[in-house]
Amino acid sequence: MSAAQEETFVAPAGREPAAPAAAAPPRKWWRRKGVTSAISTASVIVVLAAWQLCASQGVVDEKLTSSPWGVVQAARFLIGNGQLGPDVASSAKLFGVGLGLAIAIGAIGGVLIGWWRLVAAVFEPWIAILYSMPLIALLPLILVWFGISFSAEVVMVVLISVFPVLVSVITGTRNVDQELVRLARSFCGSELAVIRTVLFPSLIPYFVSGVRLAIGSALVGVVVSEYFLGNSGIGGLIVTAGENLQSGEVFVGITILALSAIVMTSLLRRAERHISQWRNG
Amino acid sequence: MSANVSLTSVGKTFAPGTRPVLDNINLEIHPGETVTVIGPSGSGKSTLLNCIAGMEPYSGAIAIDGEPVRKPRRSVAMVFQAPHLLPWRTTVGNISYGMQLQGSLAKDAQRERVEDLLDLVKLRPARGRYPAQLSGGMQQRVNIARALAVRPSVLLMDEPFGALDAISKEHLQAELQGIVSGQQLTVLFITHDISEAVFLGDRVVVLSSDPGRIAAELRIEQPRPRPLEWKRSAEFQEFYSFLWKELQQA
Repeated sequence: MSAAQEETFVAPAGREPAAPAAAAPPRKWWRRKGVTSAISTASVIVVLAAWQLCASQGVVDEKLTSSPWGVVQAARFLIGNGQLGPDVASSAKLFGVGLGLAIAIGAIGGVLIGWWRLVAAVFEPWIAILYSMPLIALLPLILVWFGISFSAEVVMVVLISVFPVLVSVITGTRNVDQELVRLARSFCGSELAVIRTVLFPSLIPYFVSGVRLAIGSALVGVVVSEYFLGNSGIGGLIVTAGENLQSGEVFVGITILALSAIVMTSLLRRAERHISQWRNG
Repeated sequence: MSANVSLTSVGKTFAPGTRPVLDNINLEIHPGETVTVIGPSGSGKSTLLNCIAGMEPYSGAIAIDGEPVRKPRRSVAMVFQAPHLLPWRTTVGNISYGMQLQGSLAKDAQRERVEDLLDLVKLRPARGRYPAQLSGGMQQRVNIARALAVRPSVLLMDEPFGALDAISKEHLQAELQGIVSGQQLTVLFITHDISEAVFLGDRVVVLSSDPGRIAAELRIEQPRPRPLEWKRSAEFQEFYSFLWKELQQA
């Protein structure tokens, strides 16, 4: 044994040798948080700059592709002529009502179906049928049943966005820790008390991941229903601008949708982190 | 007040046509007595506990203070093998959980009870911590405090120290005597550890396996609190050897 090796084994009696400070290998420079954020930002800037450059140098036809500056101009024009505000408000209303209903139906339905086998037996075949089919195929029927109306648009948004919440909550309900349920019952907890004190808190991660998926689906639902059922809101703006070859205005609509999705999912992630502080051991 | 637990010809079969897990168990546990039950794996120790807790159907008769047991009762509390703490509740939230479910105490009284128990199980410094931030021994103390919080007259403990290291286990065994002594409790303690059974029990019941039947009983006439050093005495070793032989034959 070399002197160096011997030194490694000699520790003062009763004391653990101190763990080396650099026990974990140092992170590679490109894995550090600041660096990855900078790379992500640079990636967006580079693509936007390249797009702008290609459009201004005539590499691509600006009429068809627009350009970042063209999008800004289009946004200023739409704000100036008073069109964007009402369009955003109309889509936000449809999105809010549709997603709100989808979350309520998905959460309540998910708990009922996941908790009681009899309810599951009634509804699961329908969930399997509807979840596996392209729901846009129902659009003509919705048009016939509800006409061109806000209700029709809401029905479409709900149909498209309810399943991620529903399926996620069903899975969460079935995966609830049965030992915790037994514990609650051993304290004479009623069915309702077990659901409230054990099931609901366990469902939070499932519920949040369902809602996160539902946000994306609801945005799709909003655009689809506005395209086909109302020709209003951001969806209507996109389709009309596309027909008139106003690519800048199309991108304004797309940007608003993308930013809304990003903001909402990141707010949701924050809320979940706040609620689930107990997970940090 | 501690209660009398009486089992008469208790049997349990999980599926028709299969061998019974428990067969003809007759046992009388007197008020304030601590009975420990040992037996090989598969002898139905936990099943017996679940039947007394009213969590499993059974044949025969189980009565607590003369009242038949068919479903969970407020006067009976269980301490499970794993702590089963609610991960989203702090120590205080977990200790008060049973009380909240039973709703038998006003909120102020619940708070007072939790404060007393925090001192009893020595968890005051960890009162605001979540289970993920507690050691195995601390989690088990929360588990015990949660059961005691509802002021049960019967405490059913299912190998509560089984998953702990030897030192934590000995400490908790010693502490448990102090915790239980002031509570006027009848205790049924399941374990597979002979030494634990002797140290904690006023009486040790040996269950045989396949099916679980009472193979032997041993009264331990040793005053409480029993110091841990007693485990090293000749008397303790004698009890240990007797039970070891009984278990070999069980």
